[in-house]
Amino acid sequence: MSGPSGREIPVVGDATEKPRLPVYWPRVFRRIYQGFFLLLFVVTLVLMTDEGIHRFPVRWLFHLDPLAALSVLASSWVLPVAFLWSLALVALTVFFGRAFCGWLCPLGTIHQIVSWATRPMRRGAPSKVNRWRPHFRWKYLVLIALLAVAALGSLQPGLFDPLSLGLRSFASGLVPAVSAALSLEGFRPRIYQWAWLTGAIFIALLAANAWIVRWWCRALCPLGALLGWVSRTAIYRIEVDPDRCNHCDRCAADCQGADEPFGRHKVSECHVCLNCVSVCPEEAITYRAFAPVAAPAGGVDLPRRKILGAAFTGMVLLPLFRASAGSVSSPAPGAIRPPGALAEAEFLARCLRCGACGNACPTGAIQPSVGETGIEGLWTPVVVPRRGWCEPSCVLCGQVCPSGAIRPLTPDEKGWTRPEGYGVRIGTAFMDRGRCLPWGMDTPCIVCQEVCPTVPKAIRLEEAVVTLRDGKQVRLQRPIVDPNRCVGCGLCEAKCPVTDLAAIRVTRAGESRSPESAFILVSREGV
Amino acid sequence: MPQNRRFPWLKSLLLAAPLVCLVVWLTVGGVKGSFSPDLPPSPGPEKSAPSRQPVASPPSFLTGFPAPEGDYPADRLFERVDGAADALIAAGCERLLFWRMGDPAAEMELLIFDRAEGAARILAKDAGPGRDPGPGEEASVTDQSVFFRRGRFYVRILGDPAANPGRGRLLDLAGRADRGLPASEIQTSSAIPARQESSP
Amino acid sequence: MKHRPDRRLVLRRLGQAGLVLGGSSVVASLGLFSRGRWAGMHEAAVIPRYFLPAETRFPAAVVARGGSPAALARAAVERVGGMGRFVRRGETVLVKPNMAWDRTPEQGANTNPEIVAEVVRLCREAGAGRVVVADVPVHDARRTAVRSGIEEAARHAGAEFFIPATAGFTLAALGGSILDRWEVFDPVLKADRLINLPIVKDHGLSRLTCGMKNLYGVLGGTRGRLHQRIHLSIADLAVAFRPTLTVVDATRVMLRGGPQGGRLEDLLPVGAVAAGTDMVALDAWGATLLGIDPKEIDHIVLAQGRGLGTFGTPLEEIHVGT
Repeated sequence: MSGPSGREIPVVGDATEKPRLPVYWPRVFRRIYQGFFLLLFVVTLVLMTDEGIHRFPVRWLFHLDPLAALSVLASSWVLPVAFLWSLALVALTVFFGRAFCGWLCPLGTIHQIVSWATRPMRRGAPSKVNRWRPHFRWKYLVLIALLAVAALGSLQPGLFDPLSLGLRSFASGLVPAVSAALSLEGFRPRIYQWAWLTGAIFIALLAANAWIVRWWCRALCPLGALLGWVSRTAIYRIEVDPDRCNHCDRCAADCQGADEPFGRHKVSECHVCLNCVSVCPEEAITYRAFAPVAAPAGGVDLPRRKILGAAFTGMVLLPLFRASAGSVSSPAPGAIRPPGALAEAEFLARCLRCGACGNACPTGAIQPSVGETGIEGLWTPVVVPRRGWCEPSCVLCGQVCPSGAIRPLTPDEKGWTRPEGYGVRIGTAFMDRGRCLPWGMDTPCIVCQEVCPTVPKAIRLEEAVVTLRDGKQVRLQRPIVDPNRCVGCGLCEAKCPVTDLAAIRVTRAGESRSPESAFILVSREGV
Repeated sequence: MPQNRRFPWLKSLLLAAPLVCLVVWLTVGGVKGSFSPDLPPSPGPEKSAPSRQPVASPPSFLTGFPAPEGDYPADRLFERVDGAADALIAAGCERLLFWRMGDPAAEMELLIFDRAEGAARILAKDAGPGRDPGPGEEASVTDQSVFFRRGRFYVRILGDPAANPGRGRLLDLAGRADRGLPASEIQTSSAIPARQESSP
Repeated sequence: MKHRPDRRLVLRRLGQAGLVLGGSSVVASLGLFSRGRWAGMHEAAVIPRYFLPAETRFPAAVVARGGSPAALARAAVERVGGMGRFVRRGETVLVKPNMAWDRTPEQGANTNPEIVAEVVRLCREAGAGRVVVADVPVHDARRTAVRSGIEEAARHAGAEFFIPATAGFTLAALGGSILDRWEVFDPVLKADRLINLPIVKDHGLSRLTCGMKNLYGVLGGTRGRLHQRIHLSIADLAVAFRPTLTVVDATRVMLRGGPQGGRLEDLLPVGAVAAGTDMVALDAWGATLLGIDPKEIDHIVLAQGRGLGTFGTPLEEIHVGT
């Protein structure tokens, strides 16, 4: 039979039977690393709590990510110091090629596991499936387009970055789904708006593995593209000894990167999974330093017009986003950002859309935004008080935000627990007197005033005596919001007994991070 | 022919070393709880747009007087006045500040209510029905005490019985306190005046 | 079998590796020390000092009557020292009329365009380098500029003309109790001298709009918020933007229905133009035209308290008789 390279293969027994070779230990280590880093990923998800952030470096995932670092730098022109760790990953790639993809990336591991599980579903011989395909070049174009958008000031790469995609899909998509299915109460609420979409996108990407092994990694992943581009200078790479190779194409059967070790090896696609090395019956494949270049330009040649086209697309997208009503041009009332968030334009340039803040939020207040903040703000965090209020003394969201889009505050700086200490405001509560029980329905209720946490309370009560239709007189206490004191925490809205649409609702007006949203005039002196 | 692949000791050591170090570092750090959540500030846009409500240092609320010795918000009033806190809170008292004056020897309390009616109620409770000429909108003056109210601010001055400063000097103190209260607001909302903060 | 790697290859690979690592480190360290894309966003501009030291040989405020609007304006300015006292050769002068409303000149809601044109001419005669006429209207800026007649009058007299469509706003530090940092119309920040050209009108909220209230027109952002503390913010404006010279259009005074007006019956043809450096005195005079005691207008009292001028003495009157 002939393999993809067109040569005749001498059949050794059954073509699908693998010869039994001694264990290739580096591959064993690869699997150990993969499992370990997948475990770290799960631990990261779980340990984003007040206690957990001291016991585990929960932001490691993004501080190691050179795509995140480059994007933040391109869009906001600063690099938070912690992102210097990503240089270590660049160094790793310069030496060992895309070892990150094969050994460390938790998303890659998940895709590989699903690829393995869906082996029976894939049609065609494995070695044919693992041919390199021209559409694998898309990831480079995606990378260029995203970096172009980032350079203009919007961190859209965060949407496509695999680590961000992975964290957010699990945190606000899949884990909530599992906990809903298993009716787990858990220590964090697990309802997220649009969880179905977040999870569905991830599952669709996983499903692609039934067609092509590690399709995301090969065809779309912009981090893979970035590392692939760097690995063109890789020192350690795959080398096939032509004298030993018998063209059996078994190396292609388990290849994870579709880098065609048997043909002209494309180093920028190789995930250093070392499957080819371990499986070759002639031991013709080695992974070594200073192996000669097999294919020029790493094997992926992108015509210049495609690169320019991608860059142009990216550059055109952002003005298009900004021209549509979004959170920068015309902020919607529901676009309440977490406390400590930077002003909107800067926020959108720093937010990785990773969902860590939503994962950490103990009350479920932080939700992914699909719509409130326009298309540019897709999957950025917003506070939805009906889902959960912002706990006055909690500052977790800023502590887990990897890029500083939400500044880490101290509880004192946030100020909601100090008398007269309104350091940060995220919005203001507005009374809907038609729905409010004492205002519009002759019924006593002062829940909002009771739960208001500021000192002194931002809701005061005004007494009124009302005559009911049966002639009885009832004394009602009616709540009135003081806009100079309300911090927008949302406790009132969260606890308002009017169940569907609360009678008191928080909107972003008056948030302290943007002076233009202030609607009450405050004087500097006590006049 | 496939040769026997010897167990590569050196390679395995090199491959295992980073993993082992990582595990050790994570375990030690995890047990000690030493991972810091603080992101070192990057020299970039440190602040977002300046907050309209700056983090306040406690205002003295009385210009011309030093910082008060005690400052009690509503939830800690009882620390100062014990059971009387209930009545004060029911009248809408939000804060109590007190000074110990040397000259004249007296204790002065400034109680801030959310509305003038509350301040009037407590003044009435303290002073009874009679009113005397004095500072503020209404006052009650004796040889050992001056109580007066302006708007929602209620000032209680009690002379030290041992030193016995006398009515005149207590009235002078009360007058200074009256002039030190925040000027009357032009708007009618019940909002507390913004704090006197150090200029940016 | 393994063969020794080609030395050139080794050097090339090491070189490339060094380049990539070195390049990334350099880029990263640039990011460490950069101030960020929005570094300048919160820096506030400083307002130029337009006001000149007082000179006792000229009156602080005068009223001219008995002539055409242009003649009155010229005579009044002559009496307080002539435009040469206020404008040096080559300076950029901003003439700031009241051009807030989409109304015709006859409706008396905006400054009379003849007065605007005359003041522009006076500035040019005094040797100004650039004369700029600018305002930030409440109504649609384009229509207001046309309907008020001010754009045409200004350009005809040789001034440059700016409305928000043609210039931007900059954050400025105003140092007031209400107006701390606010967006200000750019032409205002680029001028050396400011000539305030208000019209006297009734105002529903502040009771009077004259010189000090006219300064509102330099502000951008959500000005409507200032209504919450209108008198204090007017006083802040007067301190921050103390003009070099104020010329008050009192040819047609709106007694009711201000500041927009619309009904011709609400206008009183007073036929006067006042000018001077004392905004407080001029505003107080405007109040008397409306029949209001100046002491009752909070912003006049506040401004006097802040040392911007004095009211109480009647203004010197001159008759032009053209």
